[in-house]
Amino acid sequence: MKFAATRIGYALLVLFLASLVTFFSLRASPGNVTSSVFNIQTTPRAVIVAYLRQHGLLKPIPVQYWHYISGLVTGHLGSSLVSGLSITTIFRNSVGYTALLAGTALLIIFGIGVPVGMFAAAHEGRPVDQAIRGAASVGLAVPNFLLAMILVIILGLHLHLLPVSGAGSWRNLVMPAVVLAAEPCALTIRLTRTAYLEQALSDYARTLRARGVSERRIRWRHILRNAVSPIVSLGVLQVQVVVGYSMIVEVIFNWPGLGTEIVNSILQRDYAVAEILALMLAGIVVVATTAGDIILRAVDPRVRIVAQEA
Amino acid sequence: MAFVRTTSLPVELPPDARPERLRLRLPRSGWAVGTAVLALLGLTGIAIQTVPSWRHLYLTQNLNQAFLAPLSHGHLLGTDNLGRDMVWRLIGGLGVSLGIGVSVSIISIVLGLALGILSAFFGRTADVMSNVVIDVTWAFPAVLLAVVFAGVLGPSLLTVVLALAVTGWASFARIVRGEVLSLREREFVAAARILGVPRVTIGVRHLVRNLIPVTIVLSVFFISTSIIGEAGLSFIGLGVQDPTPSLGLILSEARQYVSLTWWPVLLAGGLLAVVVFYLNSLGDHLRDRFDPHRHGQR
Repeated sequence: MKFAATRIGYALLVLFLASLVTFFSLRASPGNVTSSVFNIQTTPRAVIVAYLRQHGLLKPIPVQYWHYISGLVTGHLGSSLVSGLSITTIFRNSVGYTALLAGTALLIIFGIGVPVGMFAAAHEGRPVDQAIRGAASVGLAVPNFLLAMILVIILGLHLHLLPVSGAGSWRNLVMPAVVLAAEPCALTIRLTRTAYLEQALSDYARTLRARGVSERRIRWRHILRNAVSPIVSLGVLQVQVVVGYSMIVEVIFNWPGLGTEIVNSILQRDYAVAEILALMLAGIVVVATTAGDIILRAVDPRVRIVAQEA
Repeated sequence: MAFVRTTSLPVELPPDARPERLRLRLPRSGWAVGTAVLALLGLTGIAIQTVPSWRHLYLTQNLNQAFLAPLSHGHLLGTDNLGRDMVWRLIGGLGVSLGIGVSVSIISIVLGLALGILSAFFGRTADVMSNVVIDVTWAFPAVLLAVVFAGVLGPSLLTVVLALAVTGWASFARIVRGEVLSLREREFVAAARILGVPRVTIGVRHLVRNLIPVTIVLSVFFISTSIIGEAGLSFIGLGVQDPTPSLGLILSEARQYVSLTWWPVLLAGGLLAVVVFYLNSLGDHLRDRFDPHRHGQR
């Protein structure tokens, strides 16, 4: 219980600091939103001042911060400084795409990573194990944007199999999801393999075998359940990695999710959008990692013991 | 200390979460030569951008000679979309990328060492405080922080270094803290204490010295991570700006005309992958050299 409370306290602290960072760093930045909305040379000064006043950008910074936080709490998020669209609309339009992309990537990471890792471990030392380990090594060594380029050139531009940008059909989803999932999936394969082998060689597995329990039952009921703890704790870390890198992957593939919106609004100095979407993204990550840590500790008694001994 | 334990990761990942990865194996002299070549190329790359009379090498444009393939006359590796020579662009880019990697690494080391030692060696209050800082930085989505930072300060070299260092130092501090926690239980630290050596002196003289191996190994990995990070930022337009080359920027520019020629993508991407692969292997090699427990393994 104490652990959960501390962890939630941390999460709140992180979110508070995140709001400070996103808010103040964007205000402190050189350049100004007016240069992306108006032609500075030809627009009368009065128009720009009126625009700034209308959006509350002439008020003292602490007051603006208060509006930002209270807006978040009450749900009045305001509207984009550039397009005038309500931020709630922008968020609603983009969060689904990010969830779809990140969700598919996580599905690939665990839906493929865990079974393949178990398969490799069950065939330890045989050619198929070697092949899987080799493939995982390559997956870890190639940076994701490089993989993106290779896929775009081969699948998109030469073979015309998949569209290289935008969203719409499942075909648009394939390349970004694969690029996003590649490295974490390779890591999951390796970790699963290691964790599985460690358990498979243990005394209890031998005992179960001696008692004539079927190999499939040993594998899925006993070994996997004992090996799952490091896999899940890695998974918690990977949510952060996947959501973070989804920003870059979204920009590369022009995927209309949160990441693309954040990068565009930062480049246009659209504070109103950038600070709220960035905080939302940080919030998703923080909630996911915090929940993961707490659940993991509640489910697996060994985690508590390890943590106390460490 | 209990506070600290409960707030760090519930399960430390197994030490071999990245086990026996694909790596280069060279004899000892091979590593020396490889590293010297890399450093020389990097320094050349920085030199051609700092010495005014050499700048034309990577800046001269000639639209009549754009998109030349490798082995063209006068351009060993061809030219880019503005007819700039790819050999010098790549060398310059390598210099910038390595320079960013080394700077990020140095900043992260200094911050990470300071907080790691502070946290593990100077009592409970210092531990709790610095752990809050470390954990909070760690929990923040690193890419987002880097993007916000880069966007805020305006894209430039310094921005990239700061953005990557701000997100990088925390993992460094974590590892250093773990090292110090084990070092401080050693006999020589106890002996120094009994002799009445002040804590600060023990920290600076004895602990830092014993942290040198792990620091060297980590900083090599940090250089390669930072090169990838820089490339990622450049790729989405928040990194180094043209005409300054960096491996990530060359790659991202080449992406835009990839339907015309894919040589620059291949060259920049290939060089990036080779350098990162070499640095990772070098890090693995150094770790094996420094760690007596790993001798003879694999």
